[in-house]
Amino acid sequence: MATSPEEYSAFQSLILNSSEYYRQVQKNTGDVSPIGDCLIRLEGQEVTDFSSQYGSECSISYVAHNLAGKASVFPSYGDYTQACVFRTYGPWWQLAPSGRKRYQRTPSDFTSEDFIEVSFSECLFPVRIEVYETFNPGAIVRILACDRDGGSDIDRGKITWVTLWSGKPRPCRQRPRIFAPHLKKTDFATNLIRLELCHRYLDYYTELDGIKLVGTKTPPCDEVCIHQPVILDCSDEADGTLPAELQREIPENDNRNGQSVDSLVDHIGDLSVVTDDSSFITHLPKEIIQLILSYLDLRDLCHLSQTCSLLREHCYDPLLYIDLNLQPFWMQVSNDSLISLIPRCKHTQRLNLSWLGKGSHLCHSHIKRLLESCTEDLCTLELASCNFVDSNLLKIVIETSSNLVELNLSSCTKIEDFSIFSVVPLRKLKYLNVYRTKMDTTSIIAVLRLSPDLEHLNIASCLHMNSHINLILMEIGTHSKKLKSLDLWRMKTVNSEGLSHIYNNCPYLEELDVGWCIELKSENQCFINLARKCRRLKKLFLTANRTIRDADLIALANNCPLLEQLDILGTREVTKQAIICVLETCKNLILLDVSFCLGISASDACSWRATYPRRAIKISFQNISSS
Amino acid sequence: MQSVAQYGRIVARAIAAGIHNEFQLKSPFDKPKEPLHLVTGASGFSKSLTKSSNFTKWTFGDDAYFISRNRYADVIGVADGVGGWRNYGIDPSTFPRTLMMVCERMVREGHCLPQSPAKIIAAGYSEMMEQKVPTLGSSTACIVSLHREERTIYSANLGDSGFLVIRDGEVVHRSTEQQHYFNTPYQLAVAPPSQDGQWLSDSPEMAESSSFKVEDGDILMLATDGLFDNLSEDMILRTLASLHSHKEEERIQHAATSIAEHAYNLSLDPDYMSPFALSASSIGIDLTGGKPDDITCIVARVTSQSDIFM
Repeated sequence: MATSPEEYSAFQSLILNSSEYYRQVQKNTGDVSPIGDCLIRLEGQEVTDFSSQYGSECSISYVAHNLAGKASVFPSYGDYTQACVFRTYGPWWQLAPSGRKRYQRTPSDFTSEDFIEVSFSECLFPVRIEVYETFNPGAIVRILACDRDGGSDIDRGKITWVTLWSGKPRPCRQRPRIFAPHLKKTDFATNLIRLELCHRYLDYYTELDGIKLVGTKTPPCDEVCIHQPVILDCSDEADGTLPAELQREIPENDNRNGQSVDSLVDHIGDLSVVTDDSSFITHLPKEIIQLILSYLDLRDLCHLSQTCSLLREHCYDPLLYIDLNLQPFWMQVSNDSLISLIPRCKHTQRLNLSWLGKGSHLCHSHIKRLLESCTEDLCTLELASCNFVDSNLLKIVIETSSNLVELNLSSCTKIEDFSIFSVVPLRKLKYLNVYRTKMDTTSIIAVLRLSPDLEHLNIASCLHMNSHINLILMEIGTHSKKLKSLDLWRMKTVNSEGLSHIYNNCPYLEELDVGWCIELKSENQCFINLARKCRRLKKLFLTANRTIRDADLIALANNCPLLEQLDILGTREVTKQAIICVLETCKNLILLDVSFCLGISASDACSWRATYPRRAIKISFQNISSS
Repeated sequence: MQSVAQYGRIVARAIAAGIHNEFQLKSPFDKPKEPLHLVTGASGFSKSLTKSSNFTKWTFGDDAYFISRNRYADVIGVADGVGGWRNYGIDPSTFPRTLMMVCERMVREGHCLPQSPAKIIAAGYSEMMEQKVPTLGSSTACIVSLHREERTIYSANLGDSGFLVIRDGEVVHRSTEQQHYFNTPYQLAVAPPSQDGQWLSDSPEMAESSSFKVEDGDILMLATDGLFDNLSEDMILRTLASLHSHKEEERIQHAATSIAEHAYNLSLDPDYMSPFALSASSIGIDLTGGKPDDITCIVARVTSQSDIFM
């Protein structure tokens, strides 16, 4: 991001030039991105599924459903309500106290963090897919097409997903663009497209204005596919530099069990070569083979297990499956895969089944058997965005794995009945994520009463809890004294009294997200009291709370020295002096979002970036020419 | 036995009666009705000619309006921003403009039922809170929606903007003005947090709703108080009298412009006893002259021709 007025002007010009370029194309050809005559172009008809969104569940602003329909913002560039925006960006949520540890053995080419599925009114053979990016482009890492009729039906009703394009996440220059990468040719017509995104290297939230499917009714000939006009270079090779704050080490996938590669190479050098027919690998001690295998991801382990019986035995060793991450393989996991994994899951502690269920229908009984075979070692279970998890399966899960320490049910919108939580206590539960579910007040209170060790709770966007949220906060204050992180994003009815239960009773609180909780009023001193009582705060999001004043920020600066992430988007009353006070005093601050704060301008942000280079200062905008 | 002539007469009478009955049955109410749509024209004047910001579409000074359609309905709306915010450094046109833009989007994308414009107002107002950019201000709101198949207009009004339905030179339906006291209409508002409770802020539920069956040829006029305070109903009727036989958009646009111009000229006339001056004197305030104010006026003719585009 710009640290000087000259950089900022260059940034502005690039954006304005790109917008102007597209407007010229439209004027000359009548179309923002012209296509050939034999091709049909469809805009997205309906968003059928998505993993997260920035906006409220019943709103039309910044919600995932804005991806369908006409692209109304493009070629303007900025932060507009009509765009599709996801909940997170950058490494910030990973770096926060509630960030989850990455799973071992995750393939390095799987970087997807969010997904969105769009259906179209007709089935076409895809020749080109255009995604209109109107803010912070570059998040899309995979495009898939759904073949509803395909598949060799061993599992009845199998749905195949084919990857049309995949790429690495990389930072992009900020300008509006139509992202239309070169697609793999398919032999089926599709009307359901899935985009997978990785926001890791983005400067701010990515926003997508629309998606168009360009294709033919009958299988296209090769000339059509090759001679697609490319409007704007989508490889963005020139954009490769990471922003400064992301050049700091980001926790990487750690396969290595603490050993260094160099010492391993030394060990291999010391081995004498055995000169008979059998491969030298079979003569290695078992521990060395296990060490070698610890570097392989799940897919490689499966391939290796097919080579010989010795390696099969090694590859099936349950100690290699302590972390089992099936999310990268959501397309391929079927009931058979679950069954075959059962013998290997004896010691599984962390099981990630997120995103599963789209490829083929998964039986509840198989999931149950899988969980049963994991026995009491199973600590972590992730079922994010699993559309096959309904009330019955939730019952099965909770009954089978009542020793769970971490449970992630984020975006499991098919669960209607959470009463199992009142019946089966999860006594060891420390982490619970029910973002965007229909969990009700009674069930969450039951969890709070029965799980005294709860440290991380995410009840963001849980509409059914809105009417009694302050009661829930009171229960948290009574029962969850060890609470470290609390996510109340978009729980509109949180008031100062409710918040007081938290800061009076949870002194270990390190992370609090009360973004868009518009009932919280600074004049009730709630933020000042929060700062005084919760001195360990590392992350505080006060997004869109229009009442934040200088006194609140100064209280934060004086009382919370560990503060790392602060978001005060959209406040009118804060002045530059208070921000500077925070920047000066909070030495650990790495993220500050002052977007749409009327007292703060882009040039202020520029000069602060220059003065405090280690801090990521975010200032969003709508109309670049007037900011 | 009666003569052939008599028989003839009886048969003739029976046939005549029969035909007469047929006519009675085949009244206009039994024919399947074509859906109706609106042909609109909009015009207005800002009260301050020296406004320096770029001409913004669908705004006249602190007034804003929208015209939109979706699969079921044609919807028009006006919002009159309360000028008092200027004294506090806040641009009073932001609130009504944002409100109308949000309502337009909700109508166009089909998020609201056409039969309840009150819900459009309420949804638009709550969507305004969902925007990252903090908006302050207040305005009235009046939305009229024509359900094409049902041939009915549904309306919701909060404040002192309003509408008239004119048929054959007469006003057959009008909205009611909502005021707390003189020159202080009901208004939707978002106040600065520190001054909550000091600003008049009415909830969208206070909007008054109505519905009315319309016919081909009806004229619908939706305007802010800048128009009604300067032109009496008779003057409006005279200007719009000739319209019901015309269907072209230019004609309707011309009518809207001429009404707005007329109101604007009268608003600057210091001696004219405007409706505003008359109602002021009725409560004991001694005033003459027109009322300088932003004027916004949308004239729409209810037409059954199907030259509509979607």
